[in-house]
Amino acid sequence: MGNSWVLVALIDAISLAVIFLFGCIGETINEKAGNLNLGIPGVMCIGAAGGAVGALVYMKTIYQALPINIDEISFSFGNLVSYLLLMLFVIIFVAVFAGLSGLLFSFLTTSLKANQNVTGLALTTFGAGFADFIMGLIRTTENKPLFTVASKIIRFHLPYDEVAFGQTGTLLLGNGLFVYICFALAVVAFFVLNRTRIGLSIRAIGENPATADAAGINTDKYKYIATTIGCTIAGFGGFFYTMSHVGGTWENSATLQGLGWMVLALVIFTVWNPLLAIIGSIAFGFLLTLPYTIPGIGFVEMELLKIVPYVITILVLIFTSIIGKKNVLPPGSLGVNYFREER
Amino acid sequence: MEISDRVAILRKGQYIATVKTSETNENKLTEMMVGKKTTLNIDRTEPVNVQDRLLVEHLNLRNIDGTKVVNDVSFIARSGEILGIAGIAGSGQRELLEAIAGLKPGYKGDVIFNRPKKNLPVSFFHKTFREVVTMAKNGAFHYEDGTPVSFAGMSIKKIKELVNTEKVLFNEDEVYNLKNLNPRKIRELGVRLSFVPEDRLGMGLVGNMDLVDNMMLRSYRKGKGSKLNRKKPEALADEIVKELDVVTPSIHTPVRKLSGGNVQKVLVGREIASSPKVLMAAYPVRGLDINSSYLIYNLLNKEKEEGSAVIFVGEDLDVLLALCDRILVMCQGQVTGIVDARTTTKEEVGLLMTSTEKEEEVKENA
Amino acid sequence: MPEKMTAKKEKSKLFHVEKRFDMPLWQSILIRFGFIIVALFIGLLILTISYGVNPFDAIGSMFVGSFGTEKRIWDFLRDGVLLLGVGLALIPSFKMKFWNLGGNGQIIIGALVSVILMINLGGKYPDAVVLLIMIPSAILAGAVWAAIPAIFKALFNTNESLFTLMMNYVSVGLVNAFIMAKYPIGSHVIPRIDDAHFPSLYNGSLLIIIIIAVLLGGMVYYLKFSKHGYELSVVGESMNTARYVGINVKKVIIRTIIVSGALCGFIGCLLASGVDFTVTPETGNNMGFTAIMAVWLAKFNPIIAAGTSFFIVFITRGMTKVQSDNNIMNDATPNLIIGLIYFFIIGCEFFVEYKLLINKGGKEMKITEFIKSLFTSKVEKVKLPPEAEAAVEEEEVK
Repeated sequence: MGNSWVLVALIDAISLAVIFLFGCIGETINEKAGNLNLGIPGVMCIGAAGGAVGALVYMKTIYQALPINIDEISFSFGNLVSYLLLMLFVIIFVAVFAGLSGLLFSFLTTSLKANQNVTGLALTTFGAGFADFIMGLIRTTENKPLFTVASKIIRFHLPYDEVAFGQTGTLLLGNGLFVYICFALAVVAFFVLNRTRIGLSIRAIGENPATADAAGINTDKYKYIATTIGCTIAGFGGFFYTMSHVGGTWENSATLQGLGWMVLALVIFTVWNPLLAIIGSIAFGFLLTLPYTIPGIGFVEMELLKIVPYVITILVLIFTSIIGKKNVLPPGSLGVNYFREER
Repeated sequence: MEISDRVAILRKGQYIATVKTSETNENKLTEMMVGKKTTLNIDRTEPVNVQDRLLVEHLNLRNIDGTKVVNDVSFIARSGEILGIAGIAGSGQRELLEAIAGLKPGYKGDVIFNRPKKNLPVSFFHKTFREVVTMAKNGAFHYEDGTPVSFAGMSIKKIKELVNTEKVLFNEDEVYNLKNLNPRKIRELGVRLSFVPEDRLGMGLVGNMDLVDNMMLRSYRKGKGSKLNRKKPEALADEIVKELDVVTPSIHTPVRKLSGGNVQKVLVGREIASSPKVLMAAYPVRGLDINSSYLIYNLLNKEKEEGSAVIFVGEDLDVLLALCDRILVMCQGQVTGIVDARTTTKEEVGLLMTSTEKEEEVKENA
Repeated sequence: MPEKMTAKKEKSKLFHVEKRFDMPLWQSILIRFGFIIVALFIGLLILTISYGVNPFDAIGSMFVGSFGTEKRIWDFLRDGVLLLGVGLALIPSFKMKFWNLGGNGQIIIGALVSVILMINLGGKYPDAVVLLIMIPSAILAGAVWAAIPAIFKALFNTNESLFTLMMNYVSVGLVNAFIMAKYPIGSHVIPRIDDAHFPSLYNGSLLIIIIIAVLLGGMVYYLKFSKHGYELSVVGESMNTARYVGINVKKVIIRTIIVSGALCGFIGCLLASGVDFTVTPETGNNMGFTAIMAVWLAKFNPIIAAGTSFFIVFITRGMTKVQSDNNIMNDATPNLIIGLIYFFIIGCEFFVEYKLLINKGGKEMKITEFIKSLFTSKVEKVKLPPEAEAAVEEEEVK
């Protein structure tokens, strides 16, 4: 297996794809329930912050008792427990942070009936600021190496023979546990949305809340559920960005915000279908990493190539709105709050 | 009154009383509903000077799903007459009116507005001297008593004097096919067609704007330049508030803050302010209190007496029978019959409302 | 028929939300102001807890940040007025319910076009000529940048939020490509251009302030007194009504968004030729988004938007000063506090629009009454003679 730059690009693409996929699944659930959550970039930042805090807590407590040698990972019991605890901490913290932000969005838009667009933008502003702030707080000079270590553990993958499989191995296995969690989650989300009762309720309130309400579905409750769960899932995208994709570092929220906006586009690109989201995320990831990996690319061409994903998104937006067929149209009441008394 | 045993009366959210139906009558009930003694009746006058004004021919309209919501509808609305349209909700009445008003582009069929104008004085504002002389030669003009005008042998001075004293008259027919013209183009043609839609705050008015700005909806383009002229709409708003007894803190209150009856008064007031030649109203008294309802009926009557062709889509058969001169009945998008309101019965109308077979066929099978 | 029907014990809701009919202006201003104060308080609290900031010093710093020196005051005015300028550009768009999130991109494309002209024509031709070419070009660029999403919205109802957002990234990409093409070696930054500056009155900021003030007047006229403004209001408030009176909705949408983009492009030109004298991927400093909050807070009223714009600039500059005074190495401080204020103001809208009623013992009452009832003791019902009792009952029924 040669060192084709395509493979290199693909490896990086998968890593990006995981970020996109988490975000996409989360926002798809949001939008299926009728909430256009422009705060997803902020939620992902908040998730990143949560993950960082969780990792730090682990490092300062459990890791001291059960250290893992990141260069020579052995399958001892102690290591396994330590690893699982790291996962647990991180998952809990991300879920709490991102879930709370989802709850906040839900509270403001469902109960306080605030305008969804404005609330989303405020959430993005706040989320980015919050993440930068928290990162600024905890990423002191003494703490920084801890994040690098934690990141390596998170990215731990099953060993494979470097010589025999090389890059393909890295491609398939090299990105750690969360890749599989993510893909599995996409399948589960599709199944729940389209084949279960709760998914039907969620879709109903997104299409036509008045009808759903009249049919006895508690619109408020399901909006809360959908938004909170959706934002929690999206938050993991931010976590994966900081603790895996960039290896535990954090410059500022700008890059993650940019990815967050692309998630919103990706939801439309994948026509609110979590299964298509798997393919779409990989495609977007690949497009995004291409400018950096094509060998011998000139500076100007690189910058222009970076525009391509956005142009493709625009084309998808145009295309889906021209077709206007039912199964590629957004949920009927996307972006509109429902107030029963105004019915 | 017909099917209940007892009647409970509510007024302004409060419970008033419960009475036995057998021990009460409409007047007593109305008095309890309104709170004071009121006489409510509709004075129907005989149509005067009736002319064919609006000819709808074979109007067909499909909705987004492709089903025919208006199916080969033809009828004539006449000036000085109220034509009622009866039918179960969803029989296409609303869509029919919206199509005629120009809100459903792409319908098939013709809507012809016909207004013969008689005895118009010719004037040099519109035509040059040479044009006038040519038209006179062709026999286009007549005097008040009907005798044809000939300028033969007259001096130029005499001709000019006759024209300027409005003694030279001509007739003109205003005939336009309104098919697929939008509301603005219809107005620009000079056709005064007004439409009071079913959805008051969602279509007929802008809820967040005040009365003055709502008055401007049809007339804001008037005047040169980019600046809006609010003087005339302000005057109109004042007039409507006074004439129709609209309850509002001021003419600068957003109309969504007014109660249903007052909203409708504002809407109807605006639509009749332009002295329309055709006035269409879709369910104009739906949800209104009884006083406002009768005020609206009287407004429609007044328009009829002033020569408008009034088309009224209503739900209450009793009102239709009392107010209209003719009633067109629709069922499933088709016209099932046009009857004389003075001689028909509720049963006949009811039957037409529920069958798509033509009258003759029904009688055959009976 | 059974005379007595036992009703099932229903679980009645604790809270009931009811839309308010009307609220006196002073009350709504008070509520909003109160919420802002609370948000600021919490923000300062966070700073105190995490970095040990003295809140009273902080409040002082906030004022110094905007008004401390003469330069600060001019910068404050200029920044406020620029934010207002972007806000004015966005107001017509939002009044029409068109979510133009592409302000940043429209500003940047205007700045880019300006800089290209400045570099290529500056110095070769007199400044005035270059400016005369530059300003309409920037306006046109912004207009085109906004027109593209607008046309698709008008024709196919394409989602404008995402379209305009993506255009932002395209414009940034074009700037980067230009920088790489022109300055491939070195720091990848366009050095300050010395030609074709905006004319400077007294100092760099005064002319800009005057221009935006004129723009403010123009926008007020456009929205309230012009036929275009009326049409766009009708389209924004009720598209059905617009169609009902025969307004060409497509034309109005496209026209309004072009105005929006054109103004943003103009602001970009102002930035490129009057403030930064260069263009970067960050030109505009995210004003395209901040201005959205500013005009939303102002309920899309241009004059109030002046107030909210200056307010936001004040807080931002203030927080930056607090951060530097206390040596907080955290550049995110202003954004965090501002984000917090946004949330509170969004949340407080609810209390202005709706009334919250509490259900106590089957009777619904306002919150204030509820609190009162917690403190007043139960009054014993006095036993009245039967005639008086009947009279009281009759009174209650009426």
